[in-house]
Amino acid sequence: MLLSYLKIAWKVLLRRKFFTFISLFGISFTLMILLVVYALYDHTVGPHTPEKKVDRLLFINRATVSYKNDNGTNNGTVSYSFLERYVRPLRTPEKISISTYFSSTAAYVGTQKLDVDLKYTDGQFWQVLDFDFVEGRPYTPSEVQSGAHVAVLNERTCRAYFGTISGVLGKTIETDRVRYQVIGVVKDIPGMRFNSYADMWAPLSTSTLDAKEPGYFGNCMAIVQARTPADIPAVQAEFNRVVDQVPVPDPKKHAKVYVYAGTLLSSTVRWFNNNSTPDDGVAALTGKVALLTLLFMLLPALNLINVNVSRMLERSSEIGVRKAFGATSGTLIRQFLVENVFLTLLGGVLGLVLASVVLHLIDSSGFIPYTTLTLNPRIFAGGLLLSLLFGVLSGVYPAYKMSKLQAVQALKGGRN
Amino acid sequence: MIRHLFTLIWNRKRANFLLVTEIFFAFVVLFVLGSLLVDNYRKYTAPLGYTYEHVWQIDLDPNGQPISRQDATFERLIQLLKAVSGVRSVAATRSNTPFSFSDSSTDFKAGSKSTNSDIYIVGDDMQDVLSLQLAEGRWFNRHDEVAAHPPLVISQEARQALFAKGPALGKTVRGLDNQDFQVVGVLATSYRGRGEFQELEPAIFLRSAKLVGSADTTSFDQPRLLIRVQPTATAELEQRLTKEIAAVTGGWKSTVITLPEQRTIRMKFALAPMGGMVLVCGFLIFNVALGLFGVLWYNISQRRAEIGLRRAIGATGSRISGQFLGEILVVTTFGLAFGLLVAAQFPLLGVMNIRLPVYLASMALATALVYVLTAICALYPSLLAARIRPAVALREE
Amino acid sequence: MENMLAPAAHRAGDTVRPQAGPPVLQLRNIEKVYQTKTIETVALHQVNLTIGKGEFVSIMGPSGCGKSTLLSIMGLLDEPTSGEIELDGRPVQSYSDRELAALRNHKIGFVFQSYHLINDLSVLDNVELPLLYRPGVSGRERRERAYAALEKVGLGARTNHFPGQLSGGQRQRVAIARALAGRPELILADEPTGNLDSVMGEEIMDLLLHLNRQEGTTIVMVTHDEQQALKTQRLIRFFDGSQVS
Repeated sequence: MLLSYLKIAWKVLLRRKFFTFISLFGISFTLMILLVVYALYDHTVGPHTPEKKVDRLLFINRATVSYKNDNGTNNGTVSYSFLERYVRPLRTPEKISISTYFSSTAAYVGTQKLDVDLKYTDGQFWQVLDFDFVEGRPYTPSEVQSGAHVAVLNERTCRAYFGTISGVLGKTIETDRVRYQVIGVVKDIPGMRFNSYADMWAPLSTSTLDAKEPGYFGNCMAIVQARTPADIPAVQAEFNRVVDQVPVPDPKKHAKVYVYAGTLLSSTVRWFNNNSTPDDGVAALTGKVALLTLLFMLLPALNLINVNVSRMLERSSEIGVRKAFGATSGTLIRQFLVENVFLTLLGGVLGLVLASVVLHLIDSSGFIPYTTLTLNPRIFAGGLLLSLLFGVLSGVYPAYKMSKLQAVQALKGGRN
Repeated sequence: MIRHLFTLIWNRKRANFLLVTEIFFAFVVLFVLGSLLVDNYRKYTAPLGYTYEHVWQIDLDPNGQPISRQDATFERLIQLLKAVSGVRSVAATRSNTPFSFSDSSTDFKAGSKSTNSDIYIVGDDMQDVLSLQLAEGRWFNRHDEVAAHPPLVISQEARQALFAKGPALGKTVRGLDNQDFQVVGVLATSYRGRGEFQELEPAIFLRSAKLVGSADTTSFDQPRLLIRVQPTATAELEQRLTKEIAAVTGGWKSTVITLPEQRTIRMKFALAPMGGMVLVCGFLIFNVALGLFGVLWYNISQRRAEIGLRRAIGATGSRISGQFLGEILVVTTFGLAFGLLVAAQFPLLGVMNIRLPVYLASMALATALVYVLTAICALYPSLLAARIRPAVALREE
Repeated sequence: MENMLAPAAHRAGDTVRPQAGPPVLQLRNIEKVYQTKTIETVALHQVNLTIGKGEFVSIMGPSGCGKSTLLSIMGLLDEPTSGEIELDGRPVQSYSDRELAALRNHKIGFVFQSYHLINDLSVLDNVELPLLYRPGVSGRERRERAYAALEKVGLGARTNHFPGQLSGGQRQRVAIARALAGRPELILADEPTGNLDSVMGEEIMDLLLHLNRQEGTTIVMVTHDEQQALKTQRLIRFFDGSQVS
């Protein structure tokens, strides 16, 4: 039965090529846009190098100090000393890494200035995250302890500074007039992964950061790795207990200090919202995105419904014959839905192809630094799911209308 | 004839319902997008309040120097930079430099009026660095150090919000920890530090008394400078400055970036989402147009007999195409009527925080666009309808 | 409506045939050839025909003999390949599309086998249609004339119905009212009873005869029904594109 439905569906597609084009264009472009958006999302917070174990990681990067009497808040990234004092001693996590955010430094190749984004990290950084090493190795916690001037470079900087990426191990790079020995080269990290992104990574001990400095605000972040994904709430609970005990900087002016340990998604949303409430805003954002997606799909779906209704009226004699030979409304609805889902899946496949082209274009345009947007199985599955949803959404009404057509009228080819 | 068309459409309302809905949504999409674009265009064409060409921003990192000594170092640095050839003027600033992604605002009160205003804490030479134009009063200077109330220079929007049409110069304004300030100058225009796409909001300039942030550990502010260079300045000057800074401060790090560069980045951030939206909406509208075209084309082929009959009883070909064009325009009018009803809610409920004239302009724009769009979609099918030969059409069936 | 058309008064041969008036329509040497890429089909060959004012002419012939083509040409819907047409004493060959449309609107009324009513318009709106394409007719006048036409066919009480709510015979009456509304010189009826059963067909035929005799309406009717054809004043038989009697 299914096969015969599909055969008819194919014939119908070939009969009215212009309508088929309209349908496929609408479906494939709608899916393409949704897929590109999803790919950007996945690229920002999905499990990618170096945050591969994203379901076991928590990020602590922003602090808020509220004033008394609702007199406003101070927001900013946390200081090194704060993290050393309150995050390092946590007991539930498996591993804890503290690092600075990247900051721009200047290296010179001859007289040409080369901007190098430098990030200082501890040794655990390389254990918590999974970088793709092209050459060499990361520095170890003991190297960090001893203050060794060693560094890991990304490919772009390595190529720009040394002209090559092979055989650079042991060579020296000088940036902001400090010399480092290169011990590893990694693949470029996309700029959107701003928790791990840098051009060059060097031990925290080579920076001027002071673990005893009293301020809560600075330029640092911590990445905490739980033993298992299920352990995440326990880690968060312990950290929340610790933060509750953190004294305010000035008891006369300040009311409370807020710091949260969130997943990559949660901390990214917080970051963009400049949010300092217990609710990380992910649920609200998800709701908004779902609503927008539905609204966005509504117009192409309406369009498809419109075209489908026209198409269906054209086939009223076929419907009449089927009814005359005993097809029930149910079977007719099923037939039309199968046809429509077939059409949308076809559009879905086209949409995937289009999306991969667009992603490639975004990559090669260099609009977002170091991106390598690619389709992966997650996106593929998402696309298929979306086309199914779309197919049902746009097929139900015409199918219902078709099934209601009176057999006699249908045979006469009558309208209304 | 118009009445005839309305009767026809009304009697076919079930069949036309989907078309009306589609046109309704197309209108809403165009209206929302149009509002955003028109609003951004309005902002873009409003005065920025300063010039950014030949202005460089120098971010400084004291590199571990104790806070207590930073002020003196910073003062020395400013004096030195002023003497460098190729540099015209130098002023200290906080992190909310033009086009940066940092902003700071606070409440100010004058009598019964109050406003939330962007606040810029800057050095005495900032007027020259950013070519700020004054409408009233003066910019602050060294002598203000001993003033009873610290001086303020306010933008036109801040003047409007705090004093309306009354006099502003010399008035006292209360803000920041209940401290009193005195207005000494009013800018000629607005000042929009976040760039061309910022709303025209109040801005207030405060003289930076201490050059670096106070010892308050909750505020995280690195010293920063804006300098105006001679138009002939090149990258060579940039390198020289970096070296001089390191030498005079005993190891402070510095990063130089020009304001035009900063502006480009800011622009990219503002334009990318807009461009994305225009593309997406463009696709949606094109999609609707294709669908409309297809459905109309199909309708014409369904109504061949009717067309034949109308020709037989005396309609000319152009009357026929006129009728079909008219029909779709009536359908469009129905869709637009619903759309305008919804669009009217936007200013009434204040959905997007946009001014009424912008809404009205985009309503007109979207209405015109939808009419043009549907007319274009209906044109070819209508011409086809006119070309149907009545003798043939009447004999079918 | 039945009492208006007392059947006894209209039995064939009962009444004296009125004298044919001056010619309304004259066809001279009409030739119609359909040209496809490979084949040339002659639909009409040397047709000469004059329809006098007040005449009721029926045309008969087997399917595909060209009678529908002839009716199209008479109705100025189709152009002959050669030959001359005179409507009301004026040759129409040189007329533009616009002038032809105006002529059809003023001089000719059509009745079709499948009615060709517009389903989405009420009976009254359907009947008004020809007047809609006539400049200078006010809305009120349209309404009145449509009403009068509907009264004439006995449907004065159904003006607000839609075609879908009427029987086949009633639909054809509406179509006839539509043809009458424009007060044409000539009504062209293409198998007006072809879609109806014999009782309803009879009714329609009686209506047409009544209009011809009482109102003096000139009618040309294509039909398959010998009985009906015999009731008219003149019968023209067609075979293979040529007039045979």
